[in-house]
Amino acid sequence: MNTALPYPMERVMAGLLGYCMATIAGMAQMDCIQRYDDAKALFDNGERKVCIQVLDTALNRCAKDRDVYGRMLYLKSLAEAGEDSLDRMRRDLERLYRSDRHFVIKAYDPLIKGRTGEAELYGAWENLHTDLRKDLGRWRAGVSVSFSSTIIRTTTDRKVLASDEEMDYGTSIGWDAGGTMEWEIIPNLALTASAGYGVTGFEATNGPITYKENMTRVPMSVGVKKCFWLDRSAFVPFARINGGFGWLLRDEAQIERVDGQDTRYLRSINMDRLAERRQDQFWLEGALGVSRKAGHTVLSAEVAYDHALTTLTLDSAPYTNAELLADYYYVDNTLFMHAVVLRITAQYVLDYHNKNRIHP
Amino acid sequence: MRTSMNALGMALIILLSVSCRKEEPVQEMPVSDVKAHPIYTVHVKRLPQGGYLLQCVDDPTYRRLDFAQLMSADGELLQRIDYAPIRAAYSTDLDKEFYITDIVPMGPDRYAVIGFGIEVTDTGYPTDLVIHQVNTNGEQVAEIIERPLGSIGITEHESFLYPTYKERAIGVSTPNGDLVVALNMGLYSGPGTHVLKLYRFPLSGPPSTERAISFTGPYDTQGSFMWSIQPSTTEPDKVLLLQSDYYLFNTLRKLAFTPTAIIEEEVDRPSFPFVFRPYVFLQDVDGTYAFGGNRVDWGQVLSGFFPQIQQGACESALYQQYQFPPGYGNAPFQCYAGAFWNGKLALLTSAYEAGVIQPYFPGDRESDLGLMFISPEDNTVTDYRTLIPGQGMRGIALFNDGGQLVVIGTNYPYENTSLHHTFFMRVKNG
Repeated sequence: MNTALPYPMERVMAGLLGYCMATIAGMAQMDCIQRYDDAKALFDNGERKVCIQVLDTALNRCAKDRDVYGRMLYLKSLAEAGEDSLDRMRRDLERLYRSDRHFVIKAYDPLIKGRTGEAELYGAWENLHTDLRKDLGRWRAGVSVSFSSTIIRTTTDRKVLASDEEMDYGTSIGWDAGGTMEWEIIPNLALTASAGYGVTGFEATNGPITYKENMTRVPMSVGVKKCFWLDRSAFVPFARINGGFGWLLRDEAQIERVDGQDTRYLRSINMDRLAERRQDQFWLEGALGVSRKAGHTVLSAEVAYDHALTTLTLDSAPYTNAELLADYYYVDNTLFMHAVVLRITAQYVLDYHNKNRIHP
Repeated sequence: MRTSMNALGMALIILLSVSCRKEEPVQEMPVSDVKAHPIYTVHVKRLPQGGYLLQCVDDPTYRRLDFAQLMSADGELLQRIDYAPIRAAYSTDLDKEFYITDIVPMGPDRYAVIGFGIEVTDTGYPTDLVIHQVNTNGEQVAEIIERPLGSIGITEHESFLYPTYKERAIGVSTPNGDLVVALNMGLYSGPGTHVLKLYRFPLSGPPSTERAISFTGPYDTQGSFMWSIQPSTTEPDKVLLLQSDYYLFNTLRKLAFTPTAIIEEEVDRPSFPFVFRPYVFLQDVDGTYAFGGNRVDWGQVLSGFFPQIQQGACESALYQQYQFPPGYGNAPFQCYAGAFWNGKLALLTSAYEAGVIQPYFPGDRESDLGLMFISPEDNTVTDYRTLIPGQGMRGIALFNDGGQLVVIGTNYPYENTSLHHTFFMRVKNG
């Protein structure tokens, strides 16, 4: 005779526990809906103050049911508009927005149509959205594209052929693109992180020699961003400080020497210089920019200055490229590659702050 | 059966590991402060006051010294002593020519320009040893010294236009300020009349103390080679002269100066035929001699340390010392310069492809410039490092500058021309 139960006891207990929790949640939801219905009945009867009191009590208990919670705030805002408590109305409308950013108040909504305070409510809702254009959210992520112009600083003045002039370093326009994320630890102060892929480089000439070097790298950075709200503007200026790290993937140089008094033309050649470069590059970045929100997307433009902390060149490397040294009479100077950067960023707001910021 | 399979597997692994093993690459030694100048240097001396004195030619085709170039200790060019005005000062008579073969620093601002003065006559070419003393600006600072050597023939005269190591007068300044000059020259008047002579000029003392000595070989009617003259480090009042005949039978002499004569104190002469160009001859502070150079027919570097001059000892010992750095197989090597460094003999070498033309490897632009370190204990190569690989840079001089090696040499920087440049570089310890 088989006396074993068809299901193990643990599964039975787990099932019972789940059922109980669902039942409790269902009962809580039913309770919130009932409270909303009660408040709605009071509102319909013109008892707006009592309605507001009932909703105040209910909101604390029903904060987790976003749908009912939103409807309660909406009804409460309408009641407050009818009572001419416009500050409280605005505060609750913002709470409503932060609870459900997709909540829509329609002018022809039967709930508000013809009610006292209809115009104030709708107008406040419109104004709130205007004011919220500078609320960039708590957590946002997106993409960025940067264009950079390098600024070369050298700490040596190495010259092989005595009759050559000093190297003159020129700018080269580079770019990078990648992902970016910002998380506000407190309103308007965010931690930032980004990673990408890009190309940068520089040019150098001393008359007869023309030298160009292009680097492909993976730039990454983390930092802190401070936003500043201007009273009447939807534009949000910001300042940012980042620590950057880049890993060189490729480094190619092109060199040419033209005829000189003591030299002769040498063809242009390309060579891989990765082995003579520091692959790990570190820098500090300071940026000033401005953001503006379109819907839930934050568009930003900024100008940054990257200050290199590490040299591009290896300490031991300047004389190791025998062909550049002996044929072209070119050696690297100890070189820091700073940059001025123009960056465009588009980020989607993934989350807003829970607490009111427009009408606290 | 399993045992035999295991053995077979093990043998296969060993075979694979052996066959896949690569030869260890030759390590490079980092250099710094490389500088290049558009001049062609054939010989370099270190100046007592610091810096270097480069002897240069304008046109390598003729190999005639055209100017001396002062170089700072950092490799920057300073003043140039142009030989054209010096030649003009000597050749007031259009039938006289001054062929300069050496310049000797006699003080911070005094140089002795040495060479042969040749007069063209209907009957021959009377030749003098000529010493013209100038300052750094090339201005004459003393009476020109002339000592008649004899009359040379047309063949010898032409050889002055293309001199190599033959037909050369070289000099050195002694600690007391005297000038010692050694010269070799063939005469027109037939076999056995080769001039091999050494002079001592008391530039700071009474002219009456001038001395000269003639040697009796070894030399050949086809000429001989004058390699080195330098004061003895242990006996500063004596000089060492390294010289060879046409067949490169080398002779090392120690010469002492008495109030009345020059005495040949010691001689080391080979006892068997041996073709060796001793481009490097150094004396350590304890009197040890170090040689470096090439066996001509094989293009291999020879080197060795020797405690003293002994009849035949140097060459017979050198005969055993063919130096093959690891990683180069039987590649031809050339060595023109050396220096003591960290208790070893550092030889500046060029390693060539096997197919290039020996002995001077003309036109090579792919040789490896390197350093070969020789142990004084057993005369073996303890280390070999590449400095500049594959660029045909040829080392002319190597100096130990306060523990740091300085290399001066020449190169062809441009493939599409025959331009020669002079380079300077420091070797980083490592």
